[in-house]
Formats: sequence, structure tokens, C-alpha cells
Amino acid sequence: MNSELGTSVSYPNLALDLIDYDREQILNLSLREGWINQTDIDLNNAFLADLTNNNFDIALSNFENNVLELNLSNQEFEKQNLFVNIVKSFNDIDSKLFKTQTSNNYQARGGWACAGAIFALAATTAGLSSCATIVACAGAILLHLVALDSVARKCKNYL
Amino acid sequence: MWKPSKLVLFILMVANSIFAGLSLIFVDWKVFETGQGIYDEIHQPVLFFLLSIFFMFPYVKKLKEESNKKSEK
Repeated sequence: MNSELGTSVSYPNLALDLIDYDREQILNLSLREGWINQTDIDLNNAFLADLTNNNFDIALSNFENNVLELNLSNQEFEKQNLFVNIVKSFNDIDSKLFKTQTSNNYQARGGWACAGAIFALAATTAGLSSCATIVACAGAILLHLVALDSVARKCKNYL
Repeated sequence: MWKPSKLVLFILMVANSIFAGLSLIFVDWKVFETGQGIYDEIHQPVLFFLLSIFFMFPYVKKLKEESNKKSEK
């Protein structure tokens, strides 16, 4: 493959056996062989936690700050820099790769949220048509506007 | 102007209260930690809650009117 592509990539023989191992075994072997260290694991765990709790940009920014705070050697810094560049490239190719679980949940409940927004709009319309005093009508108009905004936000994927 | 009956007001009040409770299930509470998108998450339960209050006032007013009429008789 190297001769075909003109590269000089080399793998240790042990790396070829990784396909037969499970996740824990791969992690243990990588630590034992010195392919990764505990700092790499901590940085990546923090990145994954940020990715789940926040979004890609915040996670990447926090990762970069964490790397800078560690005062790593040039070689280690290059490794982390390479990781950041790879992750950024993947995100540029397909930004859905790093969509958080929260976003998926948001889409899953989208139908119910839209139905709720339509019900709220119907209820505010009923309130608007039945208000008798100035204060009540002002409140009804305000609620009606919020309900319209709610429909626009929750049903944008369905309209 | 539409004049809803006591029963209709009661149904609207209860339905909005139920929807307020149900929509709270879908709220992603993590937004309060990040401080982003709070309005988007919380506006629907708040809207239902305010609507239930909105329909509660005329309902209670009708109840009072009925009880006053009964006491006059």
C-alpha cells in the first residue's frame, strides 16, 4: 500500500491484532505499549463529556484550552494538534457526526412539541375571542403572540 | 364575542394544566447549566401554565356569580 500511495506508514505487528480485541483490551494494550497515555485518555474523556453536554464548538474550545494548560512537550502537542485537525476535518465533511444526544432528543420530541404548540395556539385563540376586559384582552394578545412564536419554533420542520 | 360555558372553561383550564405538566417532561434541564436556549425550552410549559391561569379567572368568576344567584334566591 505504501508503494502504491507513496507513503511511509508503518504499523507495529501488535496493532494488526487489535481487530480481534474488545474496547477494554484495546485500551489496555495501547496503554501498555505506550501508544497512548493517561493524559490522552483524560483529554479525550473531557472532550466527549463536553460534546454530550454542550456542542462541538464549546467542546473543541475546551479541549484546546485543556491542552494549552498542560504545557506539553512539542511532540505531545503535535499529537493533540493532529487530533484537533482530524476532528475539525470530520466536522467540516459532515457536521452531523458530532451532533449531541440532546439534539437527537430534541428532534424525537419535535412532533409532540409541535402538536402542543398548535393546541396552545387554539387555546389562545379561544381566550382572545372570549376576553371581556382590557387587561384580559392584553394578556390574551400577549399569549397569542407567544403561541404563534411557539408554533413557528416547534413546527418549523413540519411547515 | 364568544362566551364559553362554565364546563368549557373548566375543560380548557384543566387541559392546559395537564399540557403544562406534560411539556415539562420534554424540557432539557441542561440548558440552565449552559445558559443557552432557555426560552426555547421553557416557553411552552410557561405558556400552558399562563393559559390555565387565564381560563381560571372567568371560571371562578362564573362560580361566584352562580353562588351569588343561589344565595339571593
